[in-house]
Parts: sequence; C-alpha cells; structure tokens
Amino acid sequence: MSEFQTAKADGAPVPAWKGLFAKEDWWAIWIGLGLVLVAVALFASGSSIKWLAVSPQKWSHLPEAFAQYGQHAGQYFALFILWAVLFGLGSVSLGIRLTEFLPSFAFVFVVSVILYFIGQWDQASKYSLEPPLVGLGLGLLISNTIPLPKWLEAGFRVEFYIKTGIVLLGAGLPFTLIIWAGPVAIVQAAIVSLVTFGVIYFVATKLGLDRRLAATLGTGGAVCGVSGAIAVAGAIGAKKEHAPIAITLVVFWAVVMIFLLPIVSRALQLPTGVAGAWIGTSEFADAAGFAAAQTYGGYAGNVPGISGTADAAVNAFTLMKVIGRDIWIGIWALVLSIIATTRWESTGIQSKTGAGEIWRRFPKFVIGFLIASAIITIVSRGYSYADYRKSLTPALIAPIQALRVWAFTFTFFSIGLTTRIRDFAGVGPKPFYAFTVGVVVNVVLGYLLSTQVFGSFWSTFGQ
Amino acid sequence: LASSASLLRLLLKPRPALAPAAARSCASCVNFCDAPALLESRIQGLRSMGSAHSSVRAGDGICLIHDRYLAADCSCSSHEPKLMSPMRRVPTAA
Repeated sequence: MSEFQTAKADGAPVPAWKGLFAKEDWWAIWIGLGLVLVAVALFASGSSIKWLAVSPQKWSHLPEAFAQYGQHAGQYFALFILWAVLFGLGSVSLGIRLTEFLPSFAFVFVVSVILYFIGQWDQASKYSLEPPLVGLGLGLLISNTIPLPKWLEAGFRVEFYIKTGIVLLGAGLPFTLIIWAGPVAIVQAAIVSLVTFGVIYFVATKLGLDRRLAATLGTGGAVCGVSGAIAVAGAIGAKKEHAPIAITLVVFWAVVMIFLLPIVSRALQLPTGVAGAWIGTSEFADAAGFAAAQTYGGYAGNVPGISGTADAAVNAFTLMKVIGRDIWIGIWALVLSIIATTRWESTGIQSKTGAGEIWRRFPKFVIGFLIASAIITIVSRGYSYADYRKSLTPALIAPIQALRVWAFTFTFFSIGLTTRIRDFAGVGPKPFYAFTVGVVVNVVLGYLLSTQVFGSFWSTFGQ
Repeated sequence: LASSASLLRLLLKPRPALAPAAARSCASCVNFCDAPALLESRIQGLRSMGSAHSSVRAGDGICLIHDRYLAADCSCSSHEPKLMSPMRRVPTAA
C-alpha cells in the first residue's frame, strides 16, 4: 500500500485523491504552497501579502510595544483568522475536532504574539530571551505544573506547524543554493548518521538489548529523531514498548541540545553557517533543531564576535537536517526491514518488504519545500541583486518569511506544551546509556565536520 | 425447523467483501490499532516532536495479539477481520 493506494478496514481501496489529504505532510504542502502562490500572484499584480504577514518590529520600552500592537491589532486579528482557517481545515481533515482545535490554537496564537514581541525587545539577546527558548521554557512550565484539560491539547500540533514552516522556508532559499550546498550536506550527514547509528546499535546490543530496540534507538539518534524511530519501529516490527523508549530518549536529548548547542556555539563564537550545520548534524528532531538554529541566528548582529546572517544558521540547518538526513528515512526503513526479516529472530509475522517502503515513508513535506524554492527562484529570475533587494524582498520574500517565523513560533511553544518531564524517568538505564554514547559521538563528530572538515564551506555559506 | 432457520440466517448474513491483497493484512484486522489519536495517547512523546499523522508512519499500528508495532501490510495466522467480528476489541484513545 502507498499513500495513494491505501485500503479501508475491510480491505476495500480508498480513492487516490483522498491520500493527498490524509496526512499532515500533504496539508503542510497545500497550506505552505498555497500561501506562496497567493503571495506570488499578488506580487505579480503589483500588490503584496505584507499587510497580512504582520510581525512585531524592534522596540526599546514597553509603551512602544503596546503602541505598536495597538496600531496593528486588526492585522494580528486577520492573521489569526488566516492561520485558524488553514490549520483548522487541515486538523478537521485529520480527524481533530474543530471545537477543540480552535480554542486551543487561539491560546497558542496569543502566547506566540507575546513571545514574538519579547523577541523584538532590543535587549532580548542580552537576557537570552529569544522566542524559541522562551516559548519552549514557558510551554514546559505550563504543561508540567498545570493540569491542562485534554481538549486543550488539540492545537498543540508541533509537526503540523514545523512542516508548514519548512515549506514556507523553501521560498527564502534559492534552488541554486540547495543544488550547490545539498551534496556537501548529504555527505556530512551521511558520515554522522552511519557512525552514530553504528555506535548506538553496537553499544545497545553489547548491553544485551533486543536488536529491534537497538535499531529503533539507532535510527532515532542518527536519522530524524522521533520520525526515524517511529518509521523504523514499524518497518522492523519492533515490540510496542520499543518506540516509546526511543522517542522518550530522542525528546530528552533534543530538548537538552536546544539549549546546549547554541550556548556552546556562542562561547566558541562560531559563524552562523557553521553553527547551523553543526545543529543540523547533531540535533535529533526538526522542530528542536529549528529552535536551536533560530536562537543562534538571532545572535547575528546582536552578539559581538558572531559573524554571518540569521538566515545562514537556519538555512544551513535546514539543508543538513532535511536534505542530508530526513529524506533518507525510507531507505533506512527498507534496509533495516530486510535485515530484520532475513537475519534476525522471527516474530511469527509476515511482512511485505519492498522498494515501495521508500516512497511510503518519504517525508512528503520536503516536496513542498523544494517546489516553494523553485517557484521563488523562477520568479526572481532576471532581477539584478539590487532590484531583488529593493522590490522582491520587501514585497514577496520578507512577508513569506514572516509567516514562516509565525509557524515556527507556534512550534516552539507547542514543543514545551507537549513535553512531559516525568516521561523521561520511565526509560531503563541500558537504553539510556546506549543512546547517550551515540549522542556524545554524534555531537563531537558533528562539531569536527562542521568546523574543521567542511568549516570553510559553512563559514561562507549564504554570503 | 429452528436449526434450519438459524442456518439460513447465518448464510444470508451480509459479510464484507474483502479485497484479496488486503484481506489478511493487519490493516483489516480487529486486533490492529492504527488510529492516530490512539497511537499518540499510547506512545509517549510521539506528539512532542513527531506525529501519528505524519507520512513516515505510513499505516503502522499496534498489534494487540503480538504486542508489536507493525506495518499495516503485515499478516499472521491470528488475523481476524474487523467487520466480521461481533465487537471491536480496539480500545479508544480516551
């Protein structure tokens, strides 16, 4: 079965078009590309979506922030309606009740507005008040101290928001840059992925853990975090407790890295492109990585000694994580399912292993990311650099990127709101040791590759 | 006469038409839990930095017989069609 040829419970085939609305990856594509196409259409007709893509500007004193909000309150309300309609449509299609999603999303949106304003305070970097860190910290505080009603969780859709944000991010990344830097990202990520997987798998099996658990842990640490763990657990027929163990460890270390990687990078005064590549190599989840990369990007121009642009950190991270690691999950799942079927102990279950696994588990939102990049690259063709900066950036690129930052802000707050610290205690010591050894190797190797082997490439990336 | 009537009722009882390829797969088994809401409630941490609605999950779910997390196109000898069972055993997310 594929997403286009799935089956109902009774085995009857489901129409192919329904598969295009059955997963949040596809909804992220429709929402992200829809916004990009509307932006392009308005730009072509001499207009722009910038009225709708409102975002706070720098402020120094609190009354300035209130005055700024007062002037644009109508735009913020319109922006809320836009996101509520788009994400609401997607959520209903995914089986989430609109009556639960809307109030929950309203809560996420209101807090995100506050977070975004805090991030625009001109002293924010001085006090480490970057929106990703504040959002994550606030979300953790709320979800771990206040018993939230179940219905309120309907709008905490981390993956839905981050995938939509990544599609929008594609509009700010020239396709030529993806072609140019993509191979370097793939080589670096492949080295780290293979070594990290090998280390975790080796240590886990030496500690006596089940090979399917070892593989699930290894993929979670080496490829794409929670997505990697859940994809491979299904492909190899892991025990039902294996995926939660791997996912809990991924989430734990991903949260630690959100804080640790920017702090260490800042102490080492790494250029933003280098830090982005390192975060892309050594973070464990897309959402967590974007939080770390955006935090570090925010230091550019605000913290002395850190060269590069804010976009370089996010773009280098995206190439490394999405192009270098995420898109290969189907191949990992296929290879491991073949090994599990032919080499490991039988489970008494017959599995149909085939090349279709690669497409079935392919993270489809990446297609939207690439198409968005291609659309803007085509639109900007023929513009000189000066014209690009003068007309295209303010009327087309910047508003799309503002929408992307909103989607990311919803993500960062939602990560905190869905992370339960008490869950971390339920993981046994052996999985923890095996995964942690892999984390150490991953971080050290990622640092060496980003700063030494490919350092000159990433330090000039995006300039 | 009564046994003939019950036999007739049994024969005339509507049964779901199963497509050959999917008829014995986990996707059509009553013991297979693949509802996203259920998976997100059972697999701790899944909603935090992942999702049961993502493409990478494909149609995977939890098998209540084998206690394994399986692809939807797996099969085994314990297969029990969903619509032919008197009641669904699959628990709800709540």
